[in-house]
Amino acid sequence: MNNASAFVIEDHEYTATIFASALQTAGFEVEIISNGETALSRLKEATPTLVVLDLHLPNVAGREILAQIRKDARLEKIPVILATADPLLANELSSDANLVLIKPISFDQLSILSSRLHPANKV
Amino acid sequence: MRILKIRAEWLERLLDVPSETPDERRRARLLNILLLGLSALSFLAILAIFVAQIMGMFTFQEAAETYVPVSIVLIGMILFYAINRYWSGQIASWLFLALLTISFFLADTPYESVWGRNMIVMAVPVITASIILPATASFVVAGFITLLISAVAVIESFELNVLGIFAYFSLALISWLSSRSLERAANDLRIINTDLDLRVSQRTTELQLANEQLQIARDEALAASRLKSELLANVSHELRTPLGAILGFSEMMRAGIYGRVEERQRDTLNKIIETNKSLTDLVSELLDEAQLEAGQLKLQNEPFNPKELARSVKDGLEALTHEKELTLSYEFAENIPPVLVGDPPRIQQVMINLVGNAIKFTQEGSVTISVFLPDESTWAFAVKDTGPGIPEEAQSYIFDAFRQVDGSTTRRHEGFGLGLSIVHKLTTLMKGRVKLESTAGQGSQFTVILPLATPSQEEE
Repeated sequence: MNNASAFVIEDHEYTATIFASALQTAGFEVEIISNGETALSRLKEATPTLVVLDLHLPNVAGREILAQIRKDARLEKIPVILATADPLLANELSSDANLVLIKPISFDQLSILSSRLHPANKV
Repeated sequence: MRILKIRAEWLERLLDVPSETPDERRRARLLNILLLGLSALSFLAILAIFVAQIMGMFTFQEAAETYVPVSIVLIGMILFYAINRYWSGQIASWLFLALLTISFFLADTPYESVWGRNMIVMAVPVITASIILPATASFVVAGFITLLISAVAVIESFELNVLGIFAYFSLALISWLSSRSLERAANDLRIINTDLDLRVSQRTTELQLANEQLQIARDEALAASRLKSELLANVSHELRTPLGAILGFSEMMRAGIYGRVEERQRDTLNKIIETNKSLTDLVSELLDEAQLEAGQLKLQNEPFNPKELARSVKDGLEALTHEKELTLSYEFAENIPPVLVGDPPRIQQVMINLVGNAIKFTQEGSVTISVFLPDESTWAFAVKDTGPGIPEEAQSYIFDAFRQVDGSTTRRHEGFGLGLSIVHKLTTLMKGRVKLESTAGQGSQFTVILPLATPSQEEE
């Protein structure tokens, strides 16, 4: 059952810890990635089941990573949850994301939402 | 007219002599006028005599007697002109005056020059001197004439004409006085002119400076406004991030991730989470207000046709219904004014979000936009669908930005929560409100009620 993996791409350490914990609660194996460059190189090697993406990242912006995911045939089906404090930017990108969450993001909310995206819970 | 102008320019170039001081320039110019005038007269004289000779009024001998002196005068004038132009105006003037005086003197008998009619003619160089040379030159010419007639008087044994000499000097005095006052007036005028030029250029510089300062001030204001916007975005981010950490860790603790939680601890955690949520709301409100102030969320106030607006939304979104068994239609109450005043792009965005959501969540049936007047001071549009409806417990938080009713998200349902939060924010901004009526399984109706403003009210 525990073969679902998730990337938490978030540069703020505490926020990343909370997101990771919420996803672990939902049954995901979580990898925290704290900058855009590493995120892109990890996405070249691995195919996670779910991606939680912050838009405000060092090196490579979140929107760039989102665009890369949607361009790649191997990755394009991965559900992406955008996590941002900027509603206007989120609105711009909402058509490429599966879910947009405006910060501050509730731990409970994220664990419930992500558990529904877990393959084991899908009907 | 054009030919005249060109000729005037040509003449101007001919008369004008470049010089260091304006007085010298004026004198050189006057000398040129005299020289050219005399040259023209000499030329005409030669021509007239030539014609007279051809007509047989003069013999060649008689004509030649006139040709020679007139030609000499003509050549002299051209010579003086050349000296005036290319060497020295003063020398040319002195030579001209000397020639004038001697010619006049030789034009009559010695007696007439000392005691008779030629004395009046000899007064001409005295006056001319004050015009083409510095004013004191009149005295020099008067002195020269005195010497000349004194010498003649001695040679011819005439009595010396003391009264005549006195008259010449009196004339020189008058010429000197008038010429001097003329020069002073011209000088005053020049000073006034220079002063005026100076003041104009000073004012121009001042104006340019003021202009530059204004431009700098404007650039600074624009930069400050940009900075304010950036600051707002940053503050928003910087505040939301720690708020999120407090919220998240409190919830994690409450969920028992860090060990078992007792009842009292749970109560306290609930209070922290509640307080955090109200603080988040407060931050959002403050930021909205600040954005309003910064003009980023400035509302327009312009006339629009509500029916056309609804029609354009319907036309724009109709394509989304094609894959489903869904009809999209609109209806208008009869008393809708043809023109309302408001912010059409924002109203349109609200309508698009609501209709878009309704289409997204409704698989079959209908989506209807209706525009009506609930009362005298408001107008409204309702978006009604036959979709799954919204559960009662979800209706209270459906306008929050971070919530989504159906968590089993697929891309089909993207951006639901955010779209409604924007609807709520924009409607509030326009001093309106959103009403939701929905029963799970029986469809939903969102009603946006906005203050009624018509063009005639605006004028009042």
